[in-house]
Amino acid sequence: MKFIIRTIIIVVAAHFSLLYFPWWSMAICAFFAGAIVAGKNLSTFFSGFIALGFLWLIQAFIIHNDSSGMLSNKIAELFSLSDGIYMVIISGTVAGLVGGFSTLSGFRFRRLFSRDKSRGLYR
Amino acid sequence: MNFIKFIFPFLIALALVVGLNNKWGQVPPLGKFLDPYNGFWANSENQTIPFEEKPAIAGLNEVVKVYYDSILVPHVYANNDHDLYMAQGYITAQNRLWQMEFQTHASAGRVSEIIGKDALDFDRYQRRNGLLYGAEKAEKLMAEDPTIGPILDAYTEGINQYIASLDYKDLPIEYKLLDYKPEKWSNLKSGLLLKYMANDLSGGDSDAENTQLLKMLGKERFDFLFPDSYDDFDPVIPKAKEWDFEPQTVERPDSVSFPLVFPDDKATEPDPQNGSNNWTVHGSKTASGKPILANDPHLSLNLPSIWYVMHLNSPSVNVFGSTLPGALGVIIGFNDKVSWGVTNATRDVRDWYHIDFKNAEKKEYRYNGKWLKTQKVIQEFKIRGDENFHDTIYYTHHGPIVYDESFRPGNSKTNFALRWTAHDPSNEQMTFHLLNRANDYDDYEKALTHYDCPAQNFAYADVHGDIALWINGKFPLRWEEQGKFIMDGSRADMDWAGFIPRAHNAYMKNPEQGYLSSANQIPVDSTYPYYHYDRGYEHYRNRRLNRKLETLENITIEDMMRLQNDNYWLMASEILPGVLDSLNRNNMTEEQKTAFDALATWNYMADQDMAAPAYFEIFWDDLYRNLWDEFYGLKNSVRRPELPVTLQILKEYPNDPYIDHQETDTKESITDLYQMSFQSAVDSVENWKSANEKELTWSNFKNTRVQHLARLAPFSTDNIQIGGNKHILNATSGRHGPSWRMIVSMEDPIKAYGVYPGGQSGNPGSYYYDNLIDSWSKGEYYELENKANASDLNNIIFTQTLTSGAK
Repeated sequence: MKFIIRTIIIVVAAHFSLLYFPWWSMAICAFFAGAIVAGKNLSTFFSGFIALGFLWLIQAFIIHNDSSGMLSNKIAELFSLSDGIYMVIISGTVAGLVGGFSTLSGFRFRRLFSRDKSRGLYR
Repeated sequence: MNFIKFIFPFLIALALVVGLNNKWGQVPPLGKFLDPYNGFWANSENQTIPFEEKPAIAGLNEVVKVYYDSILVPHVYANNDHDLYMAQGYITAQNRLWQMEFQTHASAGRVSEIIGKDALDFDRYQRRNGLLYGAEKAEKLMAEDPTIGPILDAYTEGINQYIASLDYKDLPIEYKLLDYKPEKWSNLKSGLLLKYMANDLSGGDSDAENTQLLKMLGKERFDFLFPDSYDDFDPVIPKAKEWDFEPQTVERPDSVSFPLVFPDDKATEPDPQNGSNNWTVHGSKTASGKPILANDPHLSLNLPSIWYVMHLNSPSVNVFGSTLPGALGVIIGFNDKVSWGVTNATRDVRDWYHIDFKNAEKKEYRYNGKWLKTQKVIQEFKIRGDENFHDTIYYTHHGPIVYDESFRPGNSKTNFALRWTAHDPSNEQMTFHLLNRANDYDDYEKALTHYDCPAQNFAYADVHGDIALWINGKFPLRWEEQGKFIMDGSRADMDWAGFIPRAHNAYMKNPEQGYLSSANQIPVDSTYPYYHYDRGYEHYRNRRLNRKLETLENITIEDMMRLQNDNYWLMASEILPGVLDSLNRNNMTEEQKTAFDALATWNYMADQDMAAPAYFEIFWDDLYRNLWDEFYGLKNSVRRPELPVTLQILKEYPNDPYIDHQETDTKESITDLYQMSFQSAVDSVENWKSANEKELTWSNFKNTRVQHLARLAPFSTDNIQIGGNKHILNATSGRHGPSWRMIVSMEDPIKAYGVYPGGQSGNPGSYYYDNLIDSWSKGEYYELENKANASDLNNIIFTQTLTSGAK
């Protein structure tokens, strides 16, 4: 549940942030979401990865599709790729990595100040 | 432990964000670039029109309405000229900002700021060649002019208002790819654009090569191989013209001796193919009884296109035509009364002087038995990713020292100053301002008096029935052969004595023959009382054109369209029959027989789907190379004889020593040369066939392509299916061709058509980036309507309302 809530928070916050601020503002959104909605390492990483990855992937795909690849096919060619769809995938992957590590570091930042429950269990 | 668990992912996240926010080598900052909200994705427009519907432009006096038609030509309606030109600046920038800045950076020698030190040699040449120097003078003159000054300010302000409205998201794609930002526009940049064109059209000369050839060949041989004019020439101003003025005289000095020193490592000069066709036909020869004017300037085929088409309307003007992004008004076009078009006057306006300095300090140079002082200017070059570079340029009274021991010294390591009319202050904008508003012949003639460089043949037609053509510009008053070779910069009698008085420039109005035309050929016949020179007047397009215009009667707009797209290869028709006669078909291989038959049945049309033009082109190249092999492989590259001389030697001088091919022991005859060249041509074509899995057609072989200005292949278009070639009316070769085709019939109402190989949008992500190329290649045109009332416009797909923003 926390995973889904965190993921949705990141998607919504990043979407509005990107409308007004530079691209890296989404990393800050992901960082805070990781800090606010705690979870496990893997869970926070993947919610960041999926949130930002899919946000960019879907947005890029819509543009690619609506414009019939008019520009994305040309940019792909500049990157020695055969089709604009690869630019969609690269965009999603880049955003996913930024999202994953930002959310994870937000979560680990929180842990600097709060007691780590999981460690208690095994002590 | 907790700290390590934090710092590890945090550093990765930080490294990703910082790394993706920066450019790595050629790779743009990927985070910024791939962002679907603000990155390159935001430039994906296709058929969507992204313009703001009601942009606020501070400084507008009243509302300006802009209607975009189906090919995105803006029809601009303003209530005063200030607003009109402010809107022109804004709208042009909205479509072509990156191109405008890139071209003026190129002119100013500032490309290194964008792409790094690879462009430094180019940039240094631009500054030494004096484009910035000339632009600064032009800017000053334009700013002081009470008419041009204020509207140029308005134009600049319009561009800057657009630039100020941009976020990263809105930047043209090239800025995102190369990771930089547009700077503010200035009047100087408009001056730089005019000098960019001046360089494109008058920035080449052969003085250094002529000097080298004079030294190598001697005077008699040089004159034979490089004559000032050709047999059966057909000048721009018909031979019937009588010169009714008292010419100014200029005496050739008694003892002319050219110093046989020359720069032997010259920088790249503009393509000598830069030329054009224009013609104007009198009502006595047209179906409508009113004149028709046609023009197609031939330039490098680039995207975004050099031209941006506009319709500009205010109470003082209603003009339609092609504009140059960065310059005011319409350059080639028509209004309610007149139409005009330009071709390059192709006359040498650049001369070189060998400078003798007193000593290495270069503070003084010898002139007329005295020492004159130089002016020293240190130019700074910012280089992306490198330290600034400084270049010292010395100015003499002739002009800047372009070549010296610090710039392309070559073997001579000596100093050469350049005298060029593009360095003199001039106000060409005034000519276009007045032409845009001209009502009749007198207005046209008056407008031309403001025009200096690059000299153009201005063809003219109006609704009153007048046609005319002026060879217009500032031409030095020279004695015979002055400036053909490098001159002694210390002798006062080598300086230009002045300029040909403007009224003595060659022109013709309403000639008996009923038409006037120009295609970069020799301007006048030998009765013209002033010396003129150019290294290579074109000799084929004009003769084909005049033959057709002479015979055509009841001419229609469609006739003129056919003529602009005419593929007749006159040069081939003048040499090929003799070649085929001397080849023996019996001893040929099958491939050779195929080629021979294709050529023997050819009608000399360089049409796109034919094979014969491909065989001829490569045969001719090989033949030319075999004939002039003595000129290849020299230590310094030199020019080789022009086509008319080459044909003349092949036809009339079978014993000329150049006929012999140097690489062989035997002495070749012309037949041997033909044989050799024919065989190697067929081999080359067979190689082409196996290397390219395409059908052998002229257009596949020629591969006409329109290239992006930064040479980015995906933003370019290649293998365009179109016929034509250089020296053909449809002058479309590989990278060069008609950059704008326009035909205007002065009937009532005026009918006008135009097309160009590009599109109105500068954005490679837009459908309108290259959507006109297809029509252009097929010889199709779009109707150009300069309706005085916006309500009469057809096919409007988008409307923009520019307001001052003040409440």
